[in-house]
Amino acid sequence: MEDYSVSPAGRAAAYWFADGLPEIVCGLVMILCGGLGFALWSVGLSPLWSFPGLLLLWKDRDIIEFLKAHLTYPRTGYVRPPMNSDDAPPRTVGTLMSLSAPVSDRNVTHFRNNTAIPLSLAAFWTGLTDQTWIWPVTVCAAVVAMYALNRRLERPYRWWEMVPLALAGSALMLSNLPRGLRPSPALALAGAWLLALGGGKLVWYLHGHPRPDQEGARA
Amino acid sequence: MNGQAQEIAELDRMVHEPARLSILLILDGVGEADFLYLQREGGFTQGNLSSHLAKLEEAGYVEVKKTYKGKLPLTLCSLTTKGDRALAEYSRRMLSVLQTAPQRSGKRP
Repeated sequence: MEDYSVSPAGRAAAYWFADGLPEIVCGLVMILCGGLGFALWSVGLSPLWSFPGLLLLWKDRDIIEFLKAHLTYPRTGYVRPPMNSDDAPPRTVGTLMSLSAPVSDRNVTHFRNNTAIPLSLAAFWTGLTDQTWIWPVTVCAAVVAMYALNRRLERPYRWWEMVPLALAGSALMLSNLPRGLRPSPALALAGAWLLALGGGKLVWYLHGHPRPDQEGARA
Repeated sequence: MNGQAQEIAELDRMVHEPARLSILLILDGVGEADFLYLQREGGFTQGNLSSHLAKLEEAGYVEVKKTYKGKLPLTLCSLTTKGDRALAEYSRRMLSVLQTAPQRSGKRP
């Protein structure tokens, strides 16, 4: 199994997430889709039509690279992120279900698969069923799936990062929202959670790594 | 000269130097990195890294090219095929030497 703290490739993979930008971009796309779903609902259409917008997440690299070129690379340097590598072992249903198996080799693109897909599926599902008890169970299942899928990868979640999402998601699901609208605030909440995680990391990163020219000016 | 001594004598000194070995191992793992990243990862000073990169580039083990990411100028470094082969050969020789050496605990009786 890859040890992300030791091998150069593992450290390069973890470096992609050091500034929180992947979470921020993913969160913003989810919030946008949630907002679009709300707009669709207000004109009498199903918010589920906003979900294809999540495909933008599979085009996120250019946006993230653009932001990193302005924020990250001048501060701590550039390294090619390992992504979409052809040598990554195929991910089967078996490896996805097995919590102990190393689910992938170095590949930072697995973050969005292991984060965006469980969250989107949970949000989508809440719009399809009338049974109230299923909604918080779905949210908690998505949270546990995300924790399990990411825990051995380059961007593991800590349990205390997951608790607010599980609690807020369950509270939202038990509130008195119309069933048809439910997926949109669920998606927006997931996006806001990612945005908060990424935003916190970005602030921490920028504070810890001033631009070399600013460092020189302070000295 | 015995086999082990022969292997040690034939080690590639361009690779054997710790700082250069560190640079080659980082580049081997990541594919491509810029000067600042290498400096931070390896704990080098600017002058030290420049001098070792120049030697590696001269030997044809590393390719250094100036480019841009957006408007940011970058000095990108990557391992060449020759460098990859040299690192593989160095690893083979070192492993061979260490495998024939007696196991040591680090404690003298």
